[in-house]
Amino acid sequence: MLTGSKVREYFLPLREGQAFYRFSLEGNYFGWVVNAWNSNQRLRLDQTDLGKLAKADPRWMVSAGEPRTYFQVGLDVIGLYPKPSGDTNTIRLTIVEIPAPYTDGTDRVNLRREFERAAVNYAVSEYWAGRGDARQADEYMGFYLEALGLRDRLKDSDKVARLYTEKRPEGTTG
Amino acid sequence: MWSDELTKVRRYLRDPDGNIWSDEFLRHLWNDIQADLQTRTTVLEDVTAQRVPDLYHTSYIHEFEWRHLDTDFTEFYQALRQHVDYVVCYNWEPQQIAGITPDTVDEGVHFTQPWEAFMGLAPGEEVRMAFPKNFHALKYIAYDEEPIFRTTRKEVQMSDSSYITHEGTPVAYYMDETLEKSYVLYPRPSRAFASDLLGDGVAFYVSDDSENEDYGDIALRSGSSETGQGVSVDVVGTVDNVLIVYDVAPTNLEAASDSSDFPDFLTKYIRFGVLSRAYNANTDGRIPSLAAFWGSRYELGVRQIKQFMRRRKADREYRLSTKSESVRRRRGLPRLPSTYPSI
Repeated sequence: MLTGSKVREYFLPLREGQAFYRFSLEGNYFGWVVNAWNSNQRLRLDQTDLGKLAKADPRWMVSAGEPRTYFQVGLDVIGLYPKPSGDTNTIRLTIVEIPAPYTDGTDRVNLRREFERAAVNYAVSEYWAGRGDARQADEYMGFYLEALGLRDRLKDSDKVARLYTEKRPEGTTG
Repeated sequence: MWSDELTKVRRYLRDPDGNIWSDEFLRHLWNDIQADLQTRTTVLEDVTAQRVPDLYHTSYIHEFEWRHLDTDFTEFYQALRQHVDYVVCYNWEPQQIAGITPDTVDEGVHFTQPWEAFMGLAPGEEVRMAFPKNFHALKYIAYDEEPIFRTTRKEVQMSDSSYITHEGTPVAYYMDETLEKSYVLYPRPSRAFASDLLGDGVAFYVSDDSENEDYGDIALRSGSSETGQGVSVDVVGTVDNVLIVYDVAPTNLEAASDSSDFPDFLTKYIRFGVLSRAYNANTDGRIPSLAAFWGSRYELGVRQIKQFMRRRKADREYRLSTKSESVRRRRGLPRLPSTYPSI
């Protein structure tokens, strides 16, 4: 869910006047968008959110034109602003997918090689937990988090040192 | 399905035959944990377009009818008003029941299904709209692509004595204080999808649209691609509809065939929470070390989901600054010359 290993590109054919699009990926789950490209305009779409849009332009759903920004709602809905003024464009979306459970021994492993050891440790931890050995299970869970580089961030410390960030002021992004 | 999840939980509890933990106990734990997970992460949110007027599967009038409603359906509308042992339509009817000369005037006609309020006669009562069944908290609401603000019935009544018959383009909504989570648009919309109906008699669907049977809102609109390899796209219609973005309250699992509102890749975290509480319960199967282990896995899962939520916003433009830097820019005020006489 967090490694972002499986990235795929999809085309979103735009419909005139439609701002919201619900995705249903074949087999996998929608994770998050890492890139959005307006094909006609050769323009990268900025990410925004509902609150920012509503504050900047209360009638944002009425405006139509070439989409310049996008936002995600829930687990599978993408919104565009402004909404498309025609059917003649396509947005190229690069999406991180969360792979569906494996069903067959010949399924392709949807994980980068450096994370495969982590997956093994995860499985061993589940095994020990299923056998009732909490100490061993906890040990291998630690190995799993360490291999992912998440041990410090998720397990041992609630407080993570990070830079203070500030959103760009309204109107300075596209 | 709940039956699949139950099998997994029992396997980790090493109680496949249910000798220690009953199915009901584990189901209650599951429902409790999924509500806790949603409260702490708000990972489930949804957007939906609702028709005006709202569509219901069935309407009923007496309280006792509720327990006899068809369990295959979810949307029910309680019509008219209770008075003593009766249900009344018009304001003069209680006078008749009380043996008084019935002469009270009414604002308009009454109805048993909200779409009847848009059939050419002025309605004599508010036209309610139901929030989606899994609604928890509102994040954004718009009517016909323009935002509407929240008000109260008290404010509306104080400012507009004709609020029931007043129609136009809604600019506000207020909550309706009934058991069902519903709201009322103010003023009552002058345009309804009933105006767009095609065919003879009473039809419920606008051409090229299909409905979500569970919630009565638009499931597919003309232009959606429902099937196919790769990705299918469902277009959410907003024109002349109420658009709602909301936090979801996960639906409780009741039957073996019920599915969780959480996608499959998140249900394992609920399972961790269930295992922790089950191992902590005061039964013959109590094992504190496993309860602590699964409890830490659940807490870890909550943090992972929060990080997942942050990843979804990772493409936004950020400007790095130091914590001590003032974000607001202060404008200098014009100063009078020092020689200016004081007051």
